[in-house]
Amino acid sequence: MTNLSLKCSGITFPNPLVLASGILGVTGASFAHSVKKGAGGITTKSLWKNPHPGHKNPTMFGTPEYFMNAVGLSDAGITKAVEELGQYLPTRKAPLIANIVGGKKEEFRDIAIAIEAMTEKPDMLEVNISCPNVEDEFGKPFACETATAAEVTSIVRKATTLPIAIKLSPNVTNIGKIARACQDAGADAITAINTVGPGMRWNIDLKTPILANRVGGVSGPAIFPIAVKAVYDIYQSVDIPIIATGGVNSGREALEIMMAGGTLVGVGTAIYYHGDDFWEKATKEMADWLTKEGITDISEIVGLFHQLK
Amino acid sequence: MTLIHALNTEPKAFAIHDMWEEAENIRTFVFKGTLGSKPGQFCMLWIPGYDEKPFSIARDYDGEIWLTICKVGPATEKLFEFKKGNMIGLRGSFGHGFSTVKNKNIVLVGGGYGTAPLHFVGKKHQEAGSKVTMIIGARSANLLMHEKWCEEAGFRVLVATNDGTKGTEGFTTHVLQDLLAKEKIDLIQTCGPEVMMKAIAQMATDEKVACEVSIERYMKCGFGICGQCVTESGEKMCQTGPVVSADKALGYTDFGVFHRGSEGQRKNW
Repeated sequence: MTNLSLKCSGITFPNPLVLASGILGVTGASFAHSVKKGAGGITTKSLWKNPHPGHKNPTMFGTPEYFMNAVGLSDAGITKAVEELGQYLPTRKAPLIANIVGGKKEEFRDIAIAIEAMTEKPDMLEVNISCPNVEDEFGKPFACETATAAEVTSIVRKATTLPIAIKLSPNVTNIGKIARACQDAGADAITAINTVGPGMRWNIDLKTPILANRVGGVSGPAIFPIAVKAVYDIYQSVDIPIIATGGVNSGREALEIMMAGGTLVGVGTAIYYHGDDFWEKATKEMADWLTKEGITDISEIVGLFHQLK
Repeated sequence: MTLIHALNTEPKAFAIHDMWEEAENIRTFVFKGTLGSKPGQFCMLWIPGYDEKPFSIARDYDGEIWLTICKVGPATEKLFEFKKGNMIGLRGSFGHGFSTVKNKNIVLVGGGYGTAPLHFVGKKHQEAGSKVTMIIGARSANLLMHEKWCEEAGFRVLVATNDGTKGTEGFTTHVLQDLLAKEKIDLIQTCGPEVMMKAIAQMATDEKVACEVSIERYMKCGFGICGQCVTESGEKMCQTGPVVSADKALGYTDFGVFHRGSEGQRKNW
């Protein structure tokens, strides 16, 4: 069977499928369980500097075609996270990516510093810049402007020795340009894409928006084509690896988005559609396909579509 | 890849068809329809524009869904203001429920509002020819629930109150201990405070009696995505549970010790 292990930003992953941020990423026990089931890596939920309560329920729902969420990034704050991660990290069997978030630029720096001070550190930081910038007059997300995205990247770069991935929003017209600015500001990788939208759904009998936050990010199978296009565009703009995320729902789709430019593949809603067996089913499907094609090193397929005329 | 399920987890609207008080601050709400529930499963009840919380299902047959709900916080306080005909949302049923067995001697143990799902499983056992004993416990007589339901169903009903205002003075575990000494029990199923369930799981294991417990954890989604309800074994209580075997539960280092709040922080029982 083809070996699925590969490197991303100098870190070896047993396979390219990593649990995306916000799915099951609450406790060390939960991370260990996903790895046991076959995840090649884990991304934590977004960690805030201070405790962050999140939204009331309903915070998420799914349909066969798409998934919506507005969890509001609930978190107990970086002090608790360092405790929880500190217990898990020495026992980890696959790399751990710590996802960090802030409402102000210096919050990203403070969290990065707190993680840098850990005895055993995560393998990588993923910076969620898709949330609203509270210092911006219109609360525009950091990810929606090239200059702000680069500024946050540069702040985190100065605060940590760990490789950093910047997680980009698809809700822009120039994702390749933003990715390039992040690379130039010191990013080691790009994660793309965050959720699409926001979208809105109502219950017509109750005449109420389903999500308590009224609107929420759209993910799941329906956004896969948007993710493939974003990853394809980013690959043409940067020289750093891409953690390709967005609606991947099978091993074949994981291979497709890798060929569009992804080195790693983020897995989120596939767990909703397939349960924890997804990891094993998808990695087997990938290995079988590669074997059939006579490919022994999975990293050969990264960006394959760009070599085609 | 084939989908194992193509779930639609949008809430569906239900009108409150009927409701009545079971005990102090404990009310049963009736909705017309079905969630296709098995005993021990749970559903999410949405108070539109307010909040949504998980509840065990007290009954789901004969075209009606019954939820017995205790007023414990802001969401349930809001729900208790609702009147007949008001609309709420339901989704589910979710999770792994109680087993039902044929022609056996079954003891169900409910502590406080944890008693809510047990009458439902008792009815299923009875239909399968099993003999059902229901031990109901509460702090005081005015907090006992479902005693009448269980009597009407023909279960043997034993009551324990901490203050002795009804039945045995003390805990359900005392009543169970007496029963275990007197007769051969094939299966114990329990729902209630985790410290009580841990004691029962331990007693059952010592006596080599099969036992199932229903583990309550903070649940945000209810269908295996948010990770809030994961035990220290890494298992999701919304899918592997809420009902698990005593063996399994006793293997969880958090069982009877701590659970986690809405931001994932540890809280001791």
